[in-house]
Amino acid sequence: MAEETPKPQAQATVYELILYAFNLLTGYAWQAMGYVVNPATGKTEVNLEEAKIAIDCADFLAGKLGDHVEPEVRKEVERVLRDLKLNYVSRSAEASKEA
Amino acid sequence: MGLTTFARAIADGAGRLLWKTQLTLRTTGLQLLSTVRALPETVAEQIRTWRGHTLAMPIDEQRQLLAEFYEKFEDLVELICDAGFNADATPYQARYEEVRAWMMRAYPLLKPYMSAHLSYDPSDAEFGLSVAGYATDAMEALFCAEQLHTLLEKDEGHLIGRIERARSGLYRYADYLRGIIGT
Repeated sequence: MAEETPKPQAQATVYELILYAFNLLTGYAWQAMGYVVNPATGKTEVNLEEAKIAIDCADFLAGKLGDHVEPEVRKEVERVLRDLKLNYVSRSAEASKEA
Repeated sequence: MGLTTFARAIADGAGRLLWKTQLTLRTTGLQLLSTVRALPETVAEQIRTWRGHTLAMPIDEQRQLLAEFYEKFEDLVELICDAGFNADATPYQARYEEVRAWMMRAYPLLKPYMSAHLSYDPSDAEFGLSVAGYATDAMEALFCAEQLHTLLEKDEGHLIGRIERARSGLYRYADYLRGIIGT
């Protein structure tokens, strides 16, 4: 009985890595805006400064994707960014009202 | 002396009559010209009515206009998001003006059909009244302000809801058109 040779794993492209980092950053941005519970503390915490940095970086990464991803993926990335920015504007307005 | 005055009065009267005649002729000519110019459209409409069609925009044209409008709408939302996020509307003002001008021309054509699919909120009308001087729906409220910074500054926490209402209206209208074409 011949031994099965392990199949070589497909190498991730840089665009897949960018998408991975994009998802990490957007997830963090939602958390930093207080819309998602922080899994470490079990509470919602608002840190708009960090949220802005996360959104800025996600926006930068999205710009690098260009036409290297499927049009549907690109549209989804743009939609997520728009939602994040709008919610950031809304949260900032709330914060300045409270201040 | 009396004869001179009489002759002058006659000449004056004749001059006025001539001037009035010229004016009447010119006005009539202009009216005739505008009627002739409007004729092809009127004839097309008449033919449509005779053939049993309504004067409403045909479904295919509505669908085409809606597709173009949706693209511009997403451009507008992106502009609003970017300007709001960067807290500076100045770099986006020129592009906003372009998109706004297009939407101001296109929306009145779409509005009669889209109104039925829009959700209404008093804040949309109030926003239009305070910014442009007339009541607006959720869609119009997004481009009624001449300046992008006005749109952002006058927002009192209603912007996200307004965008969602406008977007949902577009989706519902598109579904409706798809339903008609599919049947």
